[in-house]
Amino acid sequence: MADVTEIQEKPKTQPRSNDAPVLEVDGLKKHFPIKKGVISRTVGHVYAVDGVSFSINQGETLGLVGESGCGKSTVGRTVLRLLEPTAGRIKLEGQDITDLDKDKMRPIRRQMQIIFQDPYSSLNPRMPAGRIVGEALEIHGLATGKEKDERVAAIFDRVGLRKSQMESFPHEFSGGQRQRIGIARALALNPKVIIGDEPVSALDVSIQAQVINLLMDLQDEYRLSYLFIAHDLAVVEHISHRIAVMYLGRIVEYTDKKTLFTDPQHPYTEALLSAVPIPNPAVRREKRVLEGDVPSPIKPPPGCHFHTRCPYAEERCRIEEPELKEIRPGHLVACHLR
Amino acid sequence: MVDTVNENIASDTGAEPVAVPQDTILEVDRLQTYFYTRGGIVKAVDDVSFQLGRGETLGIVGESGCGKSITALSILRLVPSPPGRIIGGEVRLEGRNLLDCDEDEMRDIRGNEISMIFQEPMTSLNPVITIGRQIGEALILHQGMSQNEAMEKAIEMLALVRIPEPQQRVKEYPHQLSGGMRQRVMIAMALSCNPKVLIADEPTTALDVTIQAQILELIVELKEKLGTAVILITHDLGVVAETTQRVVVMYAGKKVEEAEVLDLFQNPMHPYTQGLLSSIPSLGILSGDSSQVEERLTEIPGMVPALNDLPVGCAFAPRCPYADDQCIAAYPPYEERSSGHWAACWHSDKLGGRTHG
Repeated sequence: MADVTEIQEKPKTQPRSNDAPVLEVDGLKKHFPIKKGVISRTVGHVYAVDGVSFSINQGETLGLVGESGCGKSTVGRTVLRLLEPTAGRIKLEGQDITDLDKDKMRPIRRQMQIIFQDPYSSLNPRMPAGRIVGEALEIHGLATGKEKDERVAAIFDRVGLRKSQMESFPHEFSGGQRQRIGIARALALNPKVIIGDEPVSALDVSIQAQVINLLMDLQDEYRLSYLFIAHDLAVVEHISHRIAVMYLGRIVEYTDKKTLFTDPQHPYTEALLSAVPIPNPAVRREKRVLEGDVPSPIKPPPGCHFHTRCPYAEERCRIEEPELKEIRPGHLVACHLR
Repeated sequence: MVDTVNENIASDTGAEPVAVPQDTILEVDRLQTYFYTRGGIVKAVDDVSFQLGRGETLGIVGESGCGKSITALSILRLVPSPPGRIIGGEVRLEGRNLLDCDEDEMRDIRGNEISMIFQEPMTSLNPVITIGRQIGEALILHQGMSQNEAMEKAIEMLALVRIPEPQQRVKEYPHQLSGGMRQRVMIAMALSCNPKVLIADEPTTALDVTIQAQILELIVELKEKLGTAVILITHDLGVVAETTQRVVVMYAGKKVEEAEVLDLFQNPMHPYTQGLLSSIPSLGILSGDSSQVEERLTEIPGMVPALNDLPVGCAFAPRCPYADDQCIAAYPPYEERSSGHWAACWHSDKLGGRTHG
């Protein structure tokens, strides 16, 4: 691990832009009720997201990492209001959108789009690719007929698909090309924020690189803000400016990319980084392999959620929930020992 | 728990023994597995050869559809037929050609001398049978154990793969276990008859990184303890770098390169390997420097060709920066470029040096 003194430049908490963040999320919670029996009595909750706060500036990428079941995808869906939050506020360009009704939400949806992980199940198999991408333009009344076709053609061109492929159906495309259709669809409405829910995880490495490069080029071109949800740390490191690490519904560490990778402060982040296999056989690392599994979000452990697997856990960790606090400017950690 | 992250460069002296297999246990020789479909003949595995030494870990890497899993299934003669058929080559286990064995003989070999673990443990375990009985099944079948003996051994195996409270767990059903635990059960099952060869087909792809680290550590540890030779099939170059000694790279049904792991990563001789290595984002924690991370990733343009419509020449030529008329006209010979390092490329000599940071 790198030395603390090595960080001379101030971590850029507000990179690239001074104006208000494009997306602000404050204290977001999403608890799913577990129902049982004939009268659907609520017998418990899945604490999928349990108090998550972050913000994203224009042209910035926030990487959201964590293992399966940590709630990262639920964060993405709740931010889009595809799921109704249990508590917390969501602000888009300063406007609180948490309680907007369906009609008022519609113009907002134009600003926030999502790209899904599985390019096979997220595209309608009976719709030609051009219509998949153009559909939203019609729904939002932005373009119809010939104008729509022209705009779709332009987007196709931009994401590296041929105009002639507008008439093709999803099964005629490869995985990487389908993900380009997904990106084209997200891009069609000219959004401010794109939420990528594991957008490259299902792709082969050589194709993954193509899609990552495309996403980064589009960001530069349109000053897009990304919430990039992924479990692959190398990909997240490549694409993100800042990174939030989640464990069992909570953010445990939140800082700029460089600090996170050179000077991780949360024991979970440390373990996560140490577990990633490095594609370089010349490097031999002593691994810190975590014991055990992630506990169930139905019954998260009391105190610090990570204490059951943490090699440094103390008495206090088992009782008291650590707060996400700023230990250095722009570096937030939720750990009693820091 | 070790607190330091030791990074040292494996030199010639410090590294593990040079993995030239003096004592070969499994030989795959010019294996050809084709699928006869309505769309034509799919050459899933075409002329693939490799050897596996006793106690060695061999990695097979490649992208989806390159034939790496079909190679593994062909070794165990588990290719669904029809449409698949092994039409040529030999698979020799200690000199005995498995392709000549009848079904009864094969049944004796599967799970006993060669066993396999799969990517998705949930679909490879029977959901309505306790894990103890599932592990015991092979023992009763292959080793002629009684029910009780098999159960004892199952408990022992669960303890070996470090499942807590094995006496309890042995009575549980697969759904009561987490993904990592299920994969441990699969490993326990695969190793219960003390096989000579273990084939692990993407054993950690469905698992989270921290669990992946546990499982890989377990496989390596057990391999050393039991002396099993391992074929590790994966698309993850990180896993390959950390667990294998020798690597076979496959592309479009053919083996394009083979070398010792360090040699392969430092000095790739096939443009596809080179492209793969440079297209993965590298973690800055390696060097403590994430400045290079801002760069664009190197892309391999285009995509994998359809296996039922392969070009005459090199299958990688349409995506290859070095391709010329020769590559399009004829498939390159598979030759030894330096000691123990084989590649099938007309232009291996031009590649020189590594591209990957």
